[in-house]
Amino acid sequence: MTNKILTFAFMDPPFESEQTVTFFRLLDSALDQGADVCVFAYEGAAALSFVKQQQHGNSVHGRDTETEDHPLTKNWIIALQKKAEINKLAFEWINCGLCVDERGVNETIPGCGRGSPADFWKYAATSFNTLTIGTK
Amino acid sequence: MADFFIIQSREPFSDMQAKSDFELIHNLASSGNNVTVLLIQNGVLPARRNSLSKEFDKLCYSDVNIMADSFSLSQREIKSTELKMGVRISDVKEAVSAMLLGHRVIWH
Repeated sequence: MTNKILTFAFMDPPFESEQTVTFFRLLDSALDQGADVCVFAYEGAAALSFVKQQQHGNSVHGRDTETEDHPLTKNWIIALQKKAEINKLAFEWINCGLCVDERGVNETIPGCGRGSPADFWKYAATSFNTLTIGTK
Repeated sequence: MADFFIIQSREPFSDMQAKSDFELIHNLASSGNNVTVLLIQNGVLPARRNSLSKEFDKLCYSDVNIMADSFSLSQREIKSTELKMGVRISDVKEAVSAMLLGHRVIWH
């Protein structure tokens, strides 16, 4: 039986918005429910998969990098990629090329590609359902 | 008649657009559509029993199915006993389930 494909479009950046957490919770739930997932990341969300994201300590609270264990969105994407692989589901991720260039975040983790809004249209056209999460 | 699933992250106390959202939800329901709302992030705030939002309260007394995200409630220290009548606790999985059922899922 073919899995249903769900497409998500998202535009919030990695560390500024509560919506980023909600977005990742939705992706995680989609994989839990057996859906193939396609993501089109544009505007600030183009930095979610930036490979140079780094953890840091928090001297105000006396915590070093390891203790602080600051979450990085690139690691959340990697975790979702692994979950999809284990469950034999598709997990595709396209960043808007213009948005990536504007922000200088061209270097992405493996499995995240570069594209354009045309890719979002293709995703949406071939998906069972699509959710667009606009920023506020 | 269609099935709508609204993910409501906007709240009416600092975002005027939320009132329009509630009006749209009310109109969708009163037009005979099946409408479910998942309150999420600050969107859970008007569900607190003592909060004042006439537009939201109107939804609580309509045919709209209203759910509040448990994670968002926990973050804001809102307990189930503090919720208004008609609001039940749920999770983002409901939004994904609605997508997989082909419902029209809209982010506010």
